This record gives sequence, C-alpha cells and structure tokens, in this order.
Amino acid sequence: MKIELDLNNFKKAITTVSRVTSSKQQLPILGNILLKVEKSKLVLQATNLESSVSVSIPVKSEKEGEIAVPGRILLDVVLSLFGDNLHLSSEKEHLKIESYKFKSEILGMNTTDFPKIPDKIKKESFSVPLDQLKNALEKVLFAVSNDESRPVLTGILFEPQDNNNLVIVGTDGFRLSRKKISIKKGENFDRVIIPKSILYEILKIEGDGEVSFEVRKNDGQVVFVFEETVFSSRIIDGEYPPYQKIIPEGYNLKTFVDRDDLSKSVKLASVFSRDSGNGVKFQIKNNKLQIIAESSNSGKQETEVEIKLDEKSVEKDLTILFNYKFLEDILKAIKSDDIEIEFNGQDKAGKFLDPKDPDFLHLIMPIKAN
Amino acid sequence: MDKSQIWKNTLEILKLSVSRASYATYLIHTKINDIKEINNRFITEIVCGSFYIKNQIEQRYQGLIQDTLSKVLDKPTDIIFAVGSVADPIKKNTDVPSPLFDEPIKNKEEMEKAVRLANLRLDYTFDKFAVSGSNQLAHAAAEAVSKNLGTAYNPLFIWGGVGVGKSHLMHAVGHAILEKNVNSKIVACTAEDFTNDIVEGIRNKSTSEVRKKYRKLNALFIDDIQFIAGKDTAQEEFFHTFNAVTSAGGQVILTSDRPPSEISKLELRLRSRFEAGLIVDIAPPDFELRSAIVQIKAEERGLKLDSETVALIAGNIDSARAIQGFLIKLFSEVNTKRVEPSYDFVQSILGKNGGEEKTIRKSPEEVIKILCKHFQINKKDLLGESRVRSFARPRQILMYLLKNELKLPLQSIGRIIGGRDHTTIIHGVETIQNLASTSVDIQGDIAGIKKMLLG
Repeated sequence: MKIELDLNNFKKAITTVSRVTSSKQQLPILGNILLKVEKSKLVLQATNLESSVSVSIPVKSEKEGEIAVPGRILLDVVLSLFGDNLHLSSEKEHLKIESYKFKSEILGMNTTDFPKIPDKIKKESFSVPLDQLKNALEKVLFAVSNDESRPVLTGILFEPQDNNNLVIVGTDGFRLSRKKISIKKGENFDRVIIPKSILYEILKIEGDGEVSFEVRKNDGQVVFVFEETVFSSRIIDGEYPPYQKIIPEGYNLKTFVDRDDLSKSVKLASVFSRDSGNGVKFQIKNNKLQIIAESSNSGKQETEVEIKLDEKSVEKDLTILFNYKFLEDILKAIKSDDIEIEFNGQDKAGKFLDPKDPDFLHLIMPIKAN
Repeated sequence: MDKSQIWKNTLEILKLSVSRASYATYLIHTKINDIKEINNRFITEIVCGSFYIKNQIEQRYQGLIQDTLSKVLDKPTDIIFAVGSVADPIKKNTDVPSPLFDEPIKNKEEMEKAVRLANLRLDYTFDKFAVSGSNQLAHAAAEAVSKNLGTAYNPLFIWGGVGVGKSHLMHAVGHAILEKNVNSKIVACTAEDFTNDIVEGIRNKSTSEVRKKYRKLNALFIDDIQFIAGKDTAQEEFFHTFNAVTSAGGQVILTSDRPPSEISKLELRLRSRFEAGLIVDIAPPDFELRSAIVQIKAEERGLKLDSETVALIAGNIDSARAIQGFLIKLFSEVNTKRVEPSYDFVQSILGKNGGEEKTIRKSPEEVIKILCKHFQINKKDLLGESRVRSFARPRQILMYLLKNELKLPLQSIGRIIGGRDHTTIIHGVETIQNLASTSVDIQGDIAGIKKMLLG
C-alpha cells in the first residue's frame, strides 16, 4: 500500500481503534491494528475478541494493500508527530511512515491471522441521535456492576418497547438506573444485554449524527455505526433480573430537594461516613431533612437541608441510611436544579427522579440499619 | 463417554497441532453443545464464546477439528459452529448480595413463631394443595378470602367428608395472611378446643381471658364446628365471638362434615349466620386429584414414582389420608430395603396394605351377593367356569375384594370361588390392581361395590 493522508484524521482514528487492542493478549495479532487501503479509503481495525472497532478515513491512495502493526507503537509514534500530511507505505511486513523531516519504519505482521470483524450494518434494528444516546448512557452506565461473578449485571439492558421506545437499564444489585429514549425502529429485535465497555466507547465519540444499531442474535453480537466508525461487541448471555418488578409504584413520602444543597451536604457527610460503611443518614422530620454522618474514630456532623414534602405523602417522618457514593453518583447524573425523592419506608429502595426528565428514574437500596 | 469428556480429549490433541497462543485464545473458548448421529455420521455442534472466535475457528481450524474429532469419535464427523455461552451453567452465586432484587427477607423465625402461635399446621399451605373439579370451588373461595380478608366471603363454611382437605384449605388461608402480615392475629382450633377453653374459663372464673383470646382477632378458624351443636354455653359464647370478630372486619372460616342445615341441635341464630356467608363443599377426591396428591406427597418425601406407579396407587387407595399413610409405609420400605419404588414393588406393598384402614365386616357370601347384584349376574355364573369377559371380570373383582378388603388367604379365596388354584387368584388380583389404575369403569365398579359393602 501507498497513501497520503491527513495527520489529524489519522490521530483520531488511531486513538479510537487502539482502545480496543489489548497488549495482554497471548496472541500477538490481537495487539495489532489492521491497516487496509481500499480504493480511496484507509480502514483501521482492532479487536480483542469481545468487541471490535473499525474506522475508515479518506486518503489519497496510490496503491492498495494491507498490513497489521502493533497498536501501542503505532499510537505512540503517530501521536507525537506534527505537521499536516503523512505518507504511509508498506513493504512486505514493514510499515513506513514519513512526514516533514521524519521517517519511521514499524515492524508489522501479515494480516492473514487477523480476525474478520464487522465493518458495516446489514439490517438496521434501530437508530437514534448520538447526543440522546450519550445522554441516556451517562445516566445509566454509572450504576452498572464491576463484579464479574454476576456477568449480566456488568452489562446494560437494551429493551425495545412498543411505540418506538427503547428502555436502557443498568444495575449492580444495590442501585438501578432506567432511562427511556425514543428510537427510529427498523427490524424487530429482542432485549439484549450489552457489555458496558463498548458503551463507554460510544460516550467518547463526538459529532451530531445518528447511531445505527443492529442486533445479530444468532451471532451473539451487536453492531453499531456512527458515521465512519463501526463498533461491535458480543452480547452477554443470561437472564436479566426482573427490574420492572422492583420499581415501586407509589410512595409513602415524597420530597423535593435542591440538588446543589443536597450535593454539598452529602459531600460533607462523606467525610465522616467513610469508616462507618459509607452510610449517610437521612432524617426527615418537621418538614426538614437532616443529613447525619457519624464515625467513632473521627467525629460526626449534621447538616440541615430545606425540603418540600409532597402533599400526598402518607408519612411525614423517616430515617433512612444510604451509601454516600451512590448518592454522589446520582446527584451528578441529574442535571436539573431540583430532584425528587420518593420513599416507601426505611428498608425499601428510595426512588430518585429528575423533575425535568420524566423518562429517567434511579433506585437506591438503603443500607440496613442494625 | 460424555460430551465434555470427548471435547476435552479432542482439545488435548488439538493443543499439539496449534500454537499455544492460538489455543489459549481461541480453542479453549469452545465446547460441544450437541452430538447427533445420522446415517453412521456424527454431527457435532460446537459452541464458541463469541462471534469473533467462531469466525476465526471456522476459517482456520475447521478441517483440523473435523479430522481430530473424527478420530476421537471413531466415525466420520461433521461439525457446525454456533455462538453461545461456553462457561458451565453458572452456579447461582448467592454470595454476591444484590438487595434490590432479593426478596424482602422475612424474618423466618418470626414467621415460624406466628404460625405456631396461630396453631396452624406447618405443611398446610396453598402450594401443597392439589386442585381438581371436586375441590375447585372451595379452593377458589379460600384464595379469594385470603386476598380480601373479611370482605370476600364471611364466614366461609367448608364442609365435606374426612380427609378431603377442609382443614388444609383453612390453614392455607392462615399461612397466606401471615405471609402478608406477620403480625396478624389468627387462632385456629377445633370446636372441641373452643368448648374446652370456655369450660376452663368458667371453672377458673377467667372467662374474660377467654374472650380476649378469641374476640380480638384478624381471623378465626374453627374445625369441625358440628361438635359445638348441643352445647349451649359454648354456642352462646361462640355466637358473641363470631359477632365480635366479623364486626371488627375479621375473617371467620369454619369446617364441618355436613352443611349447617343438617347440623342438628345447632342454634337457629348460629345457623343463619353460617348461611350468610359462602357455603362450599368438597367432594371426595377423584382419580386425577388422587394422582396429584400422590405426586405431591411423594415429592415431599423424595420418592421418585413414575406415572404408572402413581396411577396404581391413586387407583387403589381412595382417601388422601390413606395415600399419605401408604406413602409413609412405602418410604420406610424403600429405605430399609434400599430398593427403587418400582411398579412391581409398589404393587407388592399394595397387596399387603390394601384398604388397611377400614376392614369390611361382611362374609364372603354377602360380598358375592352384592357383586351379583351390582353386575346383574347369577351366582352360578360368577363362581362358574365360564371365561366370558362379563363373568370373568366380576370374578376377578371378587378375588380382589376378598383379598384386599376381607383379607382372606389366597387358598380359601380359591376354595370359595369354585375350587381354583391360588395362582389364579394372584393373577386375578393383580389384573384388577392394574386395571384400577387405568380403567375408569373398573374404578367405578370397585368404588360402587365398596360403598354397598360398607353401607
């Protein structure tokens, strides 16, 4: 192959692609990025056998061809280059990179061992504007579990619903986020659990187009495309826990709180709660919310936060214990000035709502008080 | 050799032919999902951990795998690839807490205490109640009551013969109530207990205590209410208790062996109150229900019975309690003798056991007479030589009844039935035992004749 291309485009593409390569792999080829010139396009591909990325950028091509080069080295070399244009050429298993006053030759590999990965969508399942998807993922991804012993909880549930809605759910067993977005539906598809890692990659892409999805149930794979970037990932096998069942319908007590006030007091409380199991006590009494944290080692603190009780609340008083980390996460995820919290007793999940986003809800299970 | 062993061996061989890295990257993430043999060829489905792995293996190792597998299986083998989960069926990791999805942990001790306090039978729950035509209505009523306590049907009056499941239903409602709220106040007792409490109260001058116990309840269950009839003080006290409980929104459930209208010496005001709610009866269990009961009870004891054996038991024993008794016996026999509860084994025990509960005090002559009447045949034909089905079948039923109900020895049965050999009798008894589990006609005949014998 022999091409000339824009350095910035190349940098962007390599950054995206190299995130999927893994140097830990036993098989060297999986630590490589595949460079392939077809007509006037350079296609960059990488996979770790769980997920894959394929990006193509326009180039001025003199000769087609392909080569695989170690991702780490290519990334480090290209990111430190400057200038506008770059010349790439391959000869046998060497990749030559040339720009203004610079010349490099990277030892590559034959591409025959490189796995074949999806580079386009066959039958679109649905599409959705990127910003809406990113917004939804931001509100859900933080609740996903990192614990590999329950694989289904390390993924995100995409569940299609009637009237062109997609429900996105994430949970770690202690808290749960659910966000509904409207999609443009294509082929019918069933609910799937998608590993969170590939969804974090979506969060990193920029632009204002649409993302197209394809669920390939038989291949156990999802593929999604944004402009010239094609991601794919395996689907997590298993039964997602029955999340609808645990979402409480009504409430005993509902409060409206200023998000900023609550954030500040939770942050304060966290100082003392760290060595007492991260517990922060919410005490609602006389139309006031006390946020209390105590530590036998370091001391204690109390903050009072103004709240408004919903008139339909059956109860007026409540004491409930939450993990402050969970509170911080949800207070970050909600962007409105106010937040609504619904309670159903001290041992039932608290429901956190964004008054400006009726399609979002978050549950946090309280810590059992001894 | 099982699938995983075959695959393990195959992988070991493959390991020698491919590089270590490829092996660890691709081949290890596979397993055999299915092996089928068609026309002397094996078709093996190999599951790969992800699409990418499948793709690579298909491209690079298909031929190698096919050859190796053919050698391992010693037959030409075709392979197909699929994507799926390769990990062994995940053991449910219960160590990982996920309080959001855990059932609210009911304090088990608390529940047990409540059940004990209410005097409920532990195993009488809705789960363990088999429903069929004969008790469907009663079951539905009891469920409705447990859902809408005090408002659906109050009182619920369940009547029926012995061992049909009256008390079971009543206690099941109690369990359902406690399940909802462990603090519900329930008293389950017999009419006898109730009467005794009142007598005790009068003797110790502590009637107010007794009232406290019975009047402030969410639910009051009284078994065999017919025994209260004729006891004036008890009836009066019960009348007030009944009013106190129902007016406070509590549920009353009563069981009896006959409908209120047939309980003699029952005060009129009580009768009218009983009749104000829902009166349901439970008929003796039919064959299907008995089969279900056999299955439930056998499962409880960990006995594995095939459907024929279940039918054999259900066909030969006609009350739920007797079934339970028989299964206990079977269970202990199976355990002490360390044998499988097979059809033949069950049959041999049935022979020893059959109808132990109620022996029919009738002479063989009377049985013969009743049989003749039932089948409309002559005694001469019944005991004669004719092998026509219409005589032979009743003759075998006669053998079955004489053996199982009258407990006569085989020889004397042979003598009674026209001097037949005891082996003929064994054959006849077994034939009917088998038919009783399959033929509705025979079941009907036996039940009808037994009724006449008892009546």
